[in-house]
Amino acid sequence: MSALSCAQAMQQFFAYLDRALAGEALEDLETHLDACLACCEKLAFSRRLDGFVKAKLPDSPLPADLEGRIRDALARVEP
Amino acid sequence: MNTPDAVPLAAPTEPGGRAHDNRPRFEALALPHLTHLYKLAVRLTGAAPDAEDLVHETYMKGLAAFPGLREPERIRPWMSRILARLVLDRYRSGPREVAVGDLAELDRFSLYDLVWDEDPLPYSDDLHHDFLAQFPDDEVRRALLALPETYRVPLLLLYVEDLSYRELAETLGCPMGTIMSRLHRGRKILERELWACAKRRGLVRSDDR
Amino acid sequence: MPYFTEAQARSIIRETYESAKGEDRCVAQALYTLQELSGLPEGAVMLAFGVGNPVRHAGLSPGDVVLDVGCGAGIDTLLAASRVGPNGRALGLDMTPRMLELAAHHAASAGFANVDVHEGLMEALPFADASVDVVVSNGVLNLSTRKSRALAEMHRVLRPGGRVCLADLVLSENLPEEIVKNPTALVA
Repeated sequence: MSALSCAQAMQQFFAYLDRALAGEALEDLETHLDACLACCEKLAFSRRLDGFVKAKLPDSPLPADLEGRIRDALARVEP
Repeated sequence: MNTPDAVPLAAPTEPGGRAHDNRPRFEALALPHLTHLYKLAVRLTGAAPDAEDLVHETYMKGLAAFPGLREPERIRPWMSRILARLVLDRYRSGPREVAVGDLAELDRFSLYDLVWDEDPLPYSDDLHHDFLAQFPDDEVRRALLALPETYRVPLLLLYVEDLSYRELAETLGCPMGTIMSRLHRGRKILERELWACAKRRGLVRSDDR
Repeated sequence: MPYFTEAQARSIIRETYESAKGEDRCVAQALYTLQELSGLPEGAVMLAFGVGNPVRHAGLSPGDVVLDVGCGAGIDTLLAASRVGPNGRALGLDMTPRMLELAAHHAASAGFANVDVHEGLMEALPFADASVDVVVSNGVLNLSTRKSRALAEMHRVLRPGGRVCLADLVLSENLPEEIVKNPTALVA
């Protein structure tokens, strides 16, 4: 168990949000977060920013002829 | 998990099985994911024509590699991996990508702190939320596309495919530690781009921070 | 970074000033001249907790309406009151009831009829737009968790062409983590 500084904690935020932190690393970060309002707020913002960016990803409709072109190309593949 | 398919699956195709034998099975399995793969391709490249080419090539490669697919039910992540690798191979350092700069400084970048310190919306009671709400969709997309593909590809796979770090490491052929640092830095570059955008649009003062 | 919530910070500050004792005249003597201090009630002098002397530099004229943000026990409010004269007004704002009572008491005992005290927050000044000629503040802004809002409020209540004269602490570099997380350091 080691006490993290705020700067060290911040390096772990995304791994934490992505559920990739485990064991001692996870414990150390949670201990820091329990005692640090600023890092909790910052972590919450990181989570929010992920959601914000994801929500803005473009939703592009499939070009009408793409499937046809792909089928044709697959059909032309030499046996 | 084996789900029944419209075209009955025989045993996995034999190595060296001929493309035209595999084609109907491949099409039946892979084409239902075309919309999804196309969306992923657009998100990765930002351009419809590039995305179409990419998806096209992904299917060609998919057919050729199909004999090697051991778990047909996992064809979608398998195809996504082909697509991702194509992006990495093809789109090395595009002209609109930003230079990453000093990595230690990048790691420390905090959009949260900058917004807190600047406080561009003094009467807001949800400052960070209201700050983000000012960005139009196309600026956010532009910021994402400004990431070098080394960072953009894993981040988008995380966002869109919801892959774990282990799956990302396998997909991209690099260690988990590398995945972790790329996902951290990708988000930091994104934060930096959003801050630069805020300065350009006059949402915050533009004297140098 | 918000090491304390707004509520926590205010609570710590209020508690501190509710029980603050004026130990001596050292702060006052460091910041104000003998002439400025003469004629002021002892209580106001002993409970001076500022960091500068904004009234001296505020260019107050007789007839001005001046607002002292974070007036405490009133030393700067009284100094302002004497400069703006009977046709002017000196408004003292503070969020600590005990301090406001003391400020009102000090104004009365010094014979100032042009002083009004108001309870409120610097982030939500209880005054109309463009109602004040000058804003002064002495070592108070640093206590706000939303400094920009406090400044925006000062701007709002000032009439066009009005002036702000602040004295405060400024950081030339970031403080170490253990200090910014320390409640005592927040107030002191």
